[in-house]
Amino acid sequence: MSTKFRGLIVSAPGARGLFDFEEALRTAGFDPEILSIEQLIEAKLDQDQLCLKYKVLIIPGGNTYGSVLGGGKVLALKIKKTLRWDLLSYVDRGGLVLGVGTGLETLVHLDCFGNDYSFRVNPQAVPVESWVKLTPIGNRCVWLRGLGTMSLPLNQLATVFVIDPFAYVEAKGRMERLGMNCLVLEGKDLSGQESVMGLCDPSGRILGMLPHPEFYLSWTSTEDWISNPTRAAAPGQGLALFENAMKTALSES
Amino acid sequence: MFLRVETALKSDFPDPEAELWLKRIAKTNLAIGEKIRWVRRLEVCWMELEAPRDKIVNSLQTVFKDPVLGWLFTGDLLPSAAGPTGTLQDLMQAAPMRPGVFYGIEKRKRLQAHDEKAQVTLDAIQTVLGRYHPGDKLVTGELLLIEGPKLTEKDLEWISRYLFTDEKFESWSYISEDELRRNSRFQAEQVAKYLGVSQARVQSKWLQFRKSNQTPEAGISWDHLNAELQKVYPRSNEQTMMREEEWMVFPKIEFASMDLNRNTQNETEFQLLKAQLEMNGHHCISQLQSVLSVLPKRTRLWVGTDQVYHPERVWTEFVHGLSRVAETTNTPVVQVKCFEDELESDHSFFWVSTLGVSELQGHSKKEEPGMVELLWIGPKDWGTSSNTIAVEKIKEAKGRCDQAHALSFILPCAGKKLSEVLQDHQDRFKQGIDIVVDGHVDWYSHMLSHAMPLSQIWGVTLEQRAWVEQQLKMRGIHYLHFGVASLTGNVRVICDGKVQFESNLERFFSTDRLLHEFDLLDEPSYLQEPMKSTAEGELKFSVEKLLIKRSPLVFRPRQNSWAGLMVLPELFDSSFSLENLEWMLRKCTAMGGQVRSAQVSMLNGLKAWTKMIRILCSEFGIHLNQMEIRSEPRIQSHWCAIQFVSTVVDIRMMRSEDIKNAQERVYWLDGSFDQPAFRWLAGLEGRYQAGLSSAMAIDPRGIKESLVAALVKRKLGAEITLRDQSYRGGFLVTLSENERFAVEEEWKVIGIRYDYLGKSTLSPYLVIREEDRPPQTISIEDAKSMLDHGDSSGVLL
Repeated sequence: MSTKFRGLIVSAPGARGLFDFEEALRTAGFDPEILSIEQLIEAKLDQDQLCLKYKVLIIPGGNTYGSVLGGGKVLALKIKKTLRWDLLSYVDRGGLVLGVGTGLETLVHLDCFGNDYSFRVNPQAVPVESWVKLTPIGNRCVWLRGLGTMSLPLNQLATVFVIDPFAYVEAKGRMERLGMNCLVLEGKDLSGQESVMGLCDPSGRILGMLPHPEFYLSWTSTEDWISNPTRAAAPGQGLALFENAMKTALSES
Repeated sequence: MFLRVETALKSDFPDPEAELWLKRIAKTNLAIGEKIRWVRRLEVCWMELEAPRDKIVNSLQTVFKDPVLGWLFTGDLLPSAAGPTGTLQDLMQAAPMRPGVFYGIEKRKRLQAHDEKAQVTLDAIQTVLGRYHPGDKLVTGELLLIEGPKLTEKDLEWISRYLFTDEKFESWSYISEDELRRNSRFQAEQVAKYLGVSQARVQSKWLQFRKSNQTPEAGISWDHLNAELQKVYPRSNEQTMMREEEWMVFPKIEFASMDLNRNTQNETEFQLLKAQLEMNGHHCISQLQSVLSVLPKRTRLWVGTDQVYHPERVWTEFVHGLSRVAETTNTPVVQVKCFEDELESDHSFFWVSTLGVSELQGHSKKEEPGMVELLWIGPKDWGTSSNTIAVEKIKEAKGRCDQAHALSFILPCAGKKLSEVLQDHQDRFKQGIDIVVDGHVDWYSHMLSHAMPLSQIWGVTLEQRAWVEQQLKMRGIHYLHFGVASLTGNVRVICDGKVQFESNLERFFSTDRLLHEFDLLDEPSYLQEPMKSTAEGELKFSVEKLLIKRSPLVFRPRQNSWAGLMVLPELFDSSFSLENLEWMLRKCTAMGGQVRSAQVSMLNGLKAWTKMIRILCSEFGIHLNQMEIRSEPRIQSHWCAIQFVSTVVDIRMMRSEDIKNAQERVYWLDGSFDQPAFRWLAGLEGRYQAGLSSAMAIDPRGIKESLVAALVKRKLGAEITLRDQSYRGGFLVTLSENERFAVEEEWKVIGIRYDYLGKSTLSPYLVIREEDRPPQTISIEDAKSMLDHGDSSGVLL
């Protein structure tokens, strides 16, 4: 195909893994571009331009704006109030959105999944990186379509997903009914809100997840690649998400 | 618009960060950790935003509100953003032990400290408001809400000082439980003072403070001073924490005593003053020019070890800045003297004054004048000379005391009379001297008339007197405490706690008969009528210099409370009686004060007054911590001024005497000094004092007169029934119907005798019903005018 799909990686102070996302998108076949939120504001990139120019929007994680006022909140305010992007209408018009780590919180603050959900500080958080086994649930999320159990790196679980206790039943029911709870820890009780590792919107095109797929793009990213060095050139499981995005983009073009 | 915003996790969720604080406290100080039963943490922002109210409300909601997890407290701005009450009480309900005893410790970034969180938050707010305004300001902080009945203020101070805050770039304060339950901390002026934006307002308050304390003689041009303070001096826009300029200092002004330092109420004048000094201390070269006040005592300036620079250098730079101040102003501008309850004469005086150039240069290295105790060291038998052993012992003791910096000076006395020694070293006593002749008149008269043996006079610092005496006793050295080099400016001879003789220094050192003139302040045998009438008339208050202070109220902040020196500016003539004295006491108590001590100034004191003042000490148990007695034969009249030093739990809760509304219930409370009503009104017992809408001490003239005075201010009336004739000497209090049951119940429990008299009414007439007499109806204003004109024979009696 002559024209490449373009991907936008939104950078903000404290964001992490920008170049990994860039590599992931490029490997999957996108034409990635990293732009800071201030550049976007300066360029006045409005909703229409976003829809026309970019097929994929990545909101990276990390510690954007020092997590002041809550993780990802300031970035969400800037996107909502200054750029005036409506991500739900963006995906209606064919876009795909991925938020990772704090990016998921940004998506929550942008009301992509409704307003009954939030993240609270995890008292058991320890500052280590670990690998977690994740199981995709359902077939709604285009990013996870066709993927089985996978291992992905997870930074310290600094925040925990919370459903509004005053609307717990409705919010939980809504999650199940619309297949929003699309990624959970393997072997965990699905009914608990602590096991939620990823959320997608009802269209399946917006995915927010706590683990970082961008850090597992090749087999050598894992600790035990030495035990099987022949697979050194093999792709990592995180890349599959971006390939899924490409597949979707191709199928819709 | 000034705003304060507090955010907290809803009580349904655990607060891990607060738990972490608790863990830290417990690990560092187990004893305190065990006293804390529950803790929550709130994030606090103080801000000034230039925007319409509706936009601000909207932006606060967007930025701070988390509908799932958090509560947002904004005072009355967004009452729906928190729980059922909209105040911190919602959070307090979550405490496991209820009703608990709550405390708040609050910290905030100092203005000059780099506050990234504030910048991001402000950015977020401005994003929502959709505009950038350079005048917007925001300061962030935290509030720790702690519950623990056994916690003391000392514990809280420990937590604040050593764990919760880094005092270098954060300031902290306590918040009392009362304040936590109320919303006054959200008021604009409370918020403004942390933002440094209301400098003019702070300055004006500062000026007010100083104005109220100025001595009558101080020829101060307040307008000029105000103009100086209003001037804007060039100031750097950079964050001072980031600067590394040579002269940059971070002075932290501390008061010499812990009580003042630990003062929790940041809105006190002391704190304003302190904030002002601190604020202006930064960039001292450029900004100290606007400081018209300095702290002359080295100990007043904090020179702790965690300064960026060596303390000496900090001090030198500070003094250098002050010399610039002195050069520009070139005149002593103002002197504020604030002191504490304990001792007026101790070093907790807080002096603020601008020094002139010469004064600064002359005194910067000199020893500060201070009060020293005078000990005579010499042989027990005055006529003999000391033996060698004794001399060696004295030398040894002297060396030890020198080491401990306990000696201010040593005066050799051998071969001279006492008066000659004092005269030879006049400069040591230029601030004044008190000679105490208690119990050693013989020694005194001997030393005045004979040459002294081989002996010395030691000037011992006040704090170390006991220690020095111990050193002397240990070595078997004979000594005699015979006076104090004081700061009174006069020479006084004191016997049995009374001033027997008083003279000014010049006269004292110029005459030979100096110490023989014991003027016993006998009551003058005559009173010249013209002089007396002048004194009672318009010039009644023109003798302020005899009064200790002229100000109506001098604040004395104490830990967790406001305290006030309530001055009752009554200047009594010879008609002053014990009844008046009691009435003044009741008046203080009715206002909500706990009378702690009294200060008395007397001119040509009458013996009757002395007796009354003695009663004040013995019967009422009130401590007299300052007594000034003067004899001015030229005036030939008598004066007595008493001010009761009274602490008030909360100055904002001080009661006024006027009855405020119609339909308030009027009660009489038994008010003899030993009655529990005194304790209750002073807030020492009970908890429903806040339910009172007014309280007044019954005037010695009678209950009706007191009632008239209370009613006339708002032109209200009352209908009362007097069942008893013995209502004298108590209190009149008023309550609304709502408070009635709680307060009456408490009175019964405490054992306060009370009597319901009637209710206040809208019509300005006082209707009095008495047994065996027809009802009397009196117009309030008529009654008042009659009372003012001293006609007590008419309507009321």
